[in-house]
Amino acid sequence: MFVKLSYDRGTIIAKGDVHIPFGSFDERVGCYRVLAYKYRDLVEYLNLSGIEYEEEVFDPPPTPFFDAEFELRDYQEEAVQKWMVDRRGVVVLPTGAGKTYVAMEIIRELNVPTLIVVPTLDLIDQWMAKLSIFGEIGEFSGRKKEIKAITISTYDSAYINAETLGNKFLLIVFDEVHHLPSESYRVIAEMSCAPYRLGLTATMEREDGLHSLLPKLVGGKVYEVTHDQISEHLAPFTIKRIKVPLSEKEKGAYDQLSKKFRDYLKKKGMKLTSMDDFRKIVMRTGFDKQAYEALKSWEEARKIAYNSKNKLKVLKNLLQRHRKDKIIIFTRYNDLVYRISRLFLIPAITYKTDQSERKEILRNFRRGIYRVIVSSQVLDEGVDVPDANIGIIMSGSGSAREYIQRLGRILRPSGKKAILYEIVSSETSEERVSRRRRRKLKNK
Amino acid sequence: MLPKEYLDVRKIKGKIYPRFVDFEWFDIAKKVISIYAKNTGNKLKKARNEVKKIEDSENYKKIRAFARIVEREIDFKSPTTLNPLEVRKLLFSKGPVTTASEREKVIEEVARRFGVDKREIELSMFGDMEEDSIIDGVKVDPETLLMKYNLSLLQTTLMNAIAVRFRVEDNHKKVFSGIKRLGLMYEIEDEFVRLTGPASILKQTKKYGTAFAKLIPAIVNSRLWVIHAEILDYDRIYRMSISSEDGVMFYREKLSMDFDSSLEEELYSRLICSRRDLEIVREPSLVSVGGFAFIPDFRIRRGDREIYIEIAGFWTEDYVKKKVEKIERANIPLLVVAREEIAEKLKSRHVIRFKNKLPYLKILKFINEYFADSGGKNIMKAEGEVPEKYLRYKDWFVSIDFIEYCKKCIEEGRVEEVVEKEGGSIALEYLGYKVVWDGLSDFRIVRVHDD
Repeated sequence: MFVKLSYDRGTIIAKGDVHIPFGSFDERVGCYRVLAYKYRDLVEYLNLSGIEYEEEVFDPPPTPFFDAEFELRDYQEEAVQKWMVDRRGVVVLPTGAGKTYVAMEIIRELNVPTLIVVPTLDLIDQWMAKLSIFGEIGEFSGRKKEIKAITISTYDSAYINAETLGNKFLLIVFDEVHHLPSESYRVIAEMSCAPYRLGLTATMEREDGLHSLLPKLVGGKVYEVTHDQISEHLAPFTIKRIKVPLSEKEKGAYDQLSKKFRDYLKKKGMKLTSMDDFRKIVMRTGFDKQAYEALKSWEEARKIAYNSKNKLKVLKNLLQRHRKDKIIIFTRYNDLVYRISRLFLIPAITYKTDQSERKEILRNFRRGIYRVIVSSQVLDEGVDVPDANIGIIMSGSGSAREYIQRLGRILRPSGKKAILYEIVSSETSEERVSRRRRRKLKNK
Repeated sequence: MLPKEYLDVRKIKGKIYPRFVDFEWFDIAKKVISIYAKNTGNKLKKARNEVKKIEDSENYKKIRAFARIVEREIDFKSPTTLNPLEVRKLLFSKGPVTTASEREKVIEEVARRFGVDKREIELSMFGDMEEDSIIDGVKVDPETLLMKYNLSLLQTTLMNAIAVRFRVEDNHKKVFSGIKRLGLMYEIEDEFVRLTGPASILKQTKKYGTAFAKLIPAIVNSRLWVIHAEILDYDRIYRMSISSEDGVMFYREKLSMDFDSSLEEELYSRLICSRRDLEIVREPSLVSVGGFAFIPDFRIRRGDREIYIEIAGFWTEDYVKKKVEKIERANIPLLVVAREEIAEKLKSRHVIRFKNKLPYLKILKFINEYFADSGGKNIMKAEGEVPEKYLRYKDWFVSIDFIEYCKKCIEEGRVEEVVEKEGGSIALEYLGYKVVWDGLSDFRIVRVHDD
């Protein structure tokens, strides 16, 4: 009864004369093979069964002693303790509540090689700045391929290189963990041997229901506080909605186009209630000429609503009213971002903005050299923009998460009162989207 | 490879058929190219808008994919001599502006600073954006575009594959070094190679789809090839099959005909020159050795007679060990041309040793003898001396290689092959078998006991 465990590109191979659970026998190599994330269960099974084993699974980078001083708030402290019980699971904290510190305390206490996976390059920079108190931090992304005792990677890079990263770390931290269950990203968790796993997010739920996979991939929810429970740590804010009518000309075109789309739905007996229904229509465009035409009309109608002239007038008024405040303008359409940027001479950030320029814009915004910035969805998650106290949403999809995250952006404790303006065209589908959004927020 | 949303396939009864393009699409391909070409000197944005106008519900996936491929083959230049980043920085440092006159003032000021007119500032503000760059020439013809599209479409289809089976006639080394480099695993099933990844037996995963797709150019570069794939679509598995005989035109990336070593190249050209009657194939189809692929350097064939050549040049100790084992087990007529220290470890029948230079003359001599005129036959009436590489059995001279071949066939249960060959029954008899006919076409072989 003896087994030798070794790591092979995202899986664990068990050589020996013993039956191994959690996987299957691989004819191609003549021994058992198990997905890497079963490592912890497998070792537990071998120990319980009294089977001797030898392992050559991990190949970790050398780890120094993580020594750093920082203070935790009481709810952060509590989150760490709850997680420590099984050293697995998801911590749910509202945006702005300092999720990073929860991770930092865990990293300090465990003092093992750690991989942190984040959605964007911006977030890499941000984590990098915070974690640098532990010493030199590695970056594993499209820009750099370093592996250090503490390494930060994006979901994309970690997915592409899952086989390589899988046996280098004992602790893996997933920031904005609701991204993880998607079909490709979940591989990152499955191909990793890391016995200790932490997920961080403001909202665990996904529209497609895939959050049910999280217990398997990182562990279930171990701690949650709501916005209200810790509101004393967060800035107060008010929401103001401004309804803007389309111009006569815009309205004429809009009505005509959206009627085309509605007629198509009626004809096919379809309803548009979720993203899934929408996807169905997109699927049909391949073989259904009318679906193609209907979708085209819908896109054009939306463009009219988002780009409406009157909205730009309202934006102008707001900019004039808040001459002293720090303002972030959001819109979903890149075209509109650049239009606003050109018109008002405001720095723009979209997915097309390259990394160095983006960094500089954010730095200048932080320092107050720029007072206003305009951006599309790139900033949706977690980019630290301290002290912004005015948010203006020019557009957006109806997803609750996006809205909460966007609110969170200006909910930084800054002493100032925060205002969120939402500029919506009246009597258009955008209004419905907006209503759907607020309803979700209320139910939180 | 194309973005997922341009994937254009039909699904019928569990099968998936990529909608490849043929010359029917020539005019549309030409049209798309001409729109870009006509806009030489204009912004990319303008060409893109014009392309959008020729789209309809029938062809939009194709047109968007064509456009994307054409854009990869375009030279661009900047619309301005200024550095847009510097222009923006200066403009934004003076913003935000909320009235037309404020804006006018800032633009004027910045124009003065850069020593240009106001129009140039407006032009260069976002002059580094992709869609604002100027088209400076298009380098693709319609036929190439169609072929590139087909290759991309096949690759995109395979992005969702969970397993691939393929066979190729030549180009094996390229394909197999690709398999290794891409971290895939292979199993040899008869003529076919089945490809999966390490985790494939544990979950149905598309994780290896990209690797399959990247291997495609090497496979379709072969003269003859077949690909079967299992494609995962949500939770259903579809099958896809395509081969070089299906008449689809694929773009062949120019792979340099690089040899593992200059030695092989030299030998190849000499062989070609000296014997025009021989069919010489480089990296011929693989020989399965206990589940592993063994790809000799050459196969030389004339009629029924063939021999493989493997050059054992500068190999590492470890590689030699693996390779020697493969050679021993390969069970094919094989000439090994080996450096002395390797030759010592070999038990093969045909070995030519060398020290530093490849012994071309010795090899050519061997080949000439091997394919000597008498050498073409499996069996001859016994007359006079027994020729080299033959043995006498009753009234016949039987080729030793043919006997070996028959042995192998019997072991692998391919008896029909032997019986069909000239001299097959004699060889079987020599090996101690006899053919029993159970009907007009059914037969079996029976071992004859020496009582």
